[in-house]
Amino acid sequence: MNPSSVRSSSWYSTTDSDRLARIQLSLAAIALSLGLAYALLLRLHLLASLHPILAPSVFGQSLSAHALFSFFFFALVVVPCGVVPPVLPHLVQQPSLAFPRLQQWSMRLHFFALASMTLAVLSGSLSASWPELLPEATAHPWTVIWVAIALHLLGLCLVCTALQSLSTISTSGFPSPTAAAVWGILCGAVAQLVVGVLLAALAILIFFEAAPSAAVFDAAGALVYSRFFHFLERAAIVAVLLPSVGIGMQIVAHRGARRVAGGWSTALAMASITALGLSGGGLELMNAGQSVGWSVVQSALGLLILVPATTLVTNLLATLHRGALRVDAALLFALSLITTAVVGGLAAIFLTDLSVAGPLLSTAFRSAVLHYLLGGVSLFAVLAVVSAHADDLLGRPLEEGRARVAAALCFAGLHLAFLPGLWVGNRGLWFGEAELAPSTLRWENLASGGAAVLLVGIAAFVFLSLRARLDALRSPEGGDSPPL
Amino acid sequence: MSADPHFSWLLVATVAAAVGFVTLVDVLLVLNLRRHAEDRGEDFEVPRGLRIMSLLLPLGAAAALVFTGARDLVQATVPPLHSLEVSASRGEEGWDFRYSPEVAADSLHLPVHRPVRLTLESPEGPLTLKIPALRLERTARAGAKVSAWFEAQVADTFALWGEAGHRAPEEGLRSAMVVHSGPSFDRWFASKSDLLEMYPPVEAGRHLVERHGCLVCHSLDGSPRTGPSFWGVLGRHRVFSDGTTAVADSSYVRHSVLQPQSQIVQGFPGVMPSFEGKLRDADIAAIIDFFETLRENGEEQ
Ligand code: HEC
Repeated sequence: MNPSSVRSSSWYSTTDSDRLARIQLSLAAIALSLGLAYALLLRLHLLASLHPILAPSVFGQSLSAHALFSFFFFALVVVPCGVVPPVLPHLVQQPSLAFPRLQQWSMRLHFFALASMTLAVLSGSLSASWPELLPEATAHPWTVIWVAIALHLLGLCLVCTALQSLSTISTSGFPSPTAAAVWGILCGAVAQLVVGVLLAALAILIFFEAAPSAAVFDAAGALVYSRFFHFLERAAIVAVLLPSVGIGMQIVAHRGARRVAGGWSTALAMASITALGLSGGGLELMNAGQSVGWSVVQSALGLLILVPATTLVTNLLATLHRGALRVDAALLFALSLITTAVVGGLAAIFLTDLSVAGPLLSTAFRSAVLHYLLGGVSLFAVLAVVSAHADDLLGRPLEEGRARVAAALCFAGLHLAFLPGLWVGNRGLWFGEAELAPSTLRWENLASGGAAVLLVGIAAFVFLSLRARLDALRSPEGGDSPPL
Repeated sequence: MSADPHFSWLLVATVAAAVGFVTLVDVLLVLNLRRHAEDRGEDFEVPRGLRIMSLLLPLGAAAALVFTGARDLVQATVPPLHSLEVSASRGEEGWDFRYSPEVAADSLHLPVHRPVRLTLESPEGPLTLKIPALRLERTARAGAKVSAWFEAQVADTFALWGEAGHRAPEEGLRSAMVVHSGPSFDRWFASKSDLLEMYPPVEAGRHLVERHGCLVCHSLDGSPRTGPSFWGVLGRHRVFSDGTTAVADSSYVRHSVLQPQSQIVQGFPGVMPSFEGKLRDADIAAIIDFFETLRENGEEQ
């Protein structure tokens, strides 16, 4: 390694796409480890729930910190910033992404956003269930301001990436109907643009809310805020889910040396999931004071997602049917991804069923759905793409055998950790209430066990990637990738 | 709850779909392992019949769920007339469930099979009430009210707790929901609403007179209404419509309340209803104590 080449293009001013993706993957990995550290704290608290180790207020703050790091700084950014850039040029047969500066800005904004979020969490008093609910008066104004800045920058980062994906796709001509991944990325980028703009705007409102003289939200305003937030959550699910599922389907097709089955129906299904996902919704909106008639319309739109979702599943199975598959870690991750999307997606669609949505809304059920659709799907998308493109991204392929073991651990761990949530939530409970309803205790312990398995799987994968990267750096003749 | 089968059904459907999907994928994986590098399956397209099924089945399911959802939502938003009204808020120590201005408890007592409308309010800070057995959770934001109605189906005791904005149960807000059979609820309510238990006798007497509607016909300030005023009633000399006379003392008051028609005060119509069975001896004693204060040198003006 030649030190002058490192200086000649610092990480801050590089425009090398793979390197930027690597930096953003690392930022997301940092956020994920922070998020998981808080999750671990919460889990330990729940394991010891008969002798709670966290005071309720600390529990609430840890929950906020977990959500802020894992949702915003892992799930929401990792797919567009870390997963899409390495694969999109191959998919549209272009040498590189359009407008490299956009990716550079996305990385810079991402970096500063994560830095201010870390500052916010360090500065002390988050409030509970934030930012889904408005910060309470007890939250320190500086904390609120730092979070607002972080979310604003993150919103802008997402806008940059979405614009880049959209322009890359549009400069390379109309995508073929069977290019499931391109369609997924296209639809995801539209939703991501919505999320980015909304998030940036929402952050400005939060910022002003923190100013002592100007309270932006009265009691009714607080409801509008959470309603807005729920919409953001749905758009975020679309933005994460579609590119991931598209890439997953494409990996499956590639390993079977054939095209994604179904022709136009795949592209159409993805477009309708985007449209319905952005316009439909369940009772979470109703809780924020909307009329009965409008709720029924929105619930109908949300439930209609069942139709395109079934089409996608049918097409995937048809892609597998009578094929000749080459099984590798990437395929295992892609299939785990799609399974996670199917379970979480089905459960999410039921959250728009008005008969059950209200009672399930703030139970472990909804939490499990979010973990499936945002956490699980984005995690598997990263793992699938990193293992499929390890040559480009890390400079060395991963060790196949061990990567497959990591895939098995992650798959088993994720489902063990969150399937019980569907059950516990179905009894009307939120995690952490086992002591009050002892019958759920064993489910919770099962979930903790699953979480441990998942952690081991992720750690194993990170270890394998680091090892491949170090190998590549030590003997550079093997890979021509630029230094990190 | 009527929605219970719906919940279980959805859960089973989700898990079954997941297991089915995973099994199918696994079977396809095993069947289609590529044994040689040059193996390649031909492209496969979904047969038309299957394609149409894969559109119609989910469409039907969605339509059914929209329909049942709309029905349940309308039902859930409109509480039946004559529901029992209970309001919940945070008291000095724990919950304050209020049935009327005088009747309150720190645990939630309900009659079985009767609609109840519960209104949660929280003047300061968010407050969440949870009753998992009813799948009920409501959060009142500071200064706002939320309500829900439901009908308990089983007489038993269930867990109930609250959170004060932390998403973790709060020590002081752990309580219970006690669902009574009908008569047992009435007994509980009567014991809770016993004014004699809640107030000293004079105060209890004043509340009894207010609650039983005596003030519709009797004033407290000396001015006559349908009946004579309670002001200075004790010790008054009385002439009745049949010409007999008496001095109003405590046994006279008791008599007037229980058998008002036996002696009608001259100049007044005999319209006072009997309170036999509605007021206990002890209640009337408290009213008499209250009457003691309604005179020139009484404790109250
Ligand atoms: C519908 C009107 C009405 C109501 C309600 C009513 N009263 Fe009377 N009450 C009268 C009338 C008229 C008289 C006078 C005629 C009589 O003696 O029956 C009277 C007489 C009395 C007397 C005798 C007063 C006197 O100056 O001699 C007492 C004592 C009395 N009522 C107590 C009560 C109490 C206590 C209640 C409530 C528990 C009550 N009443 C409710 C109409 C009413």
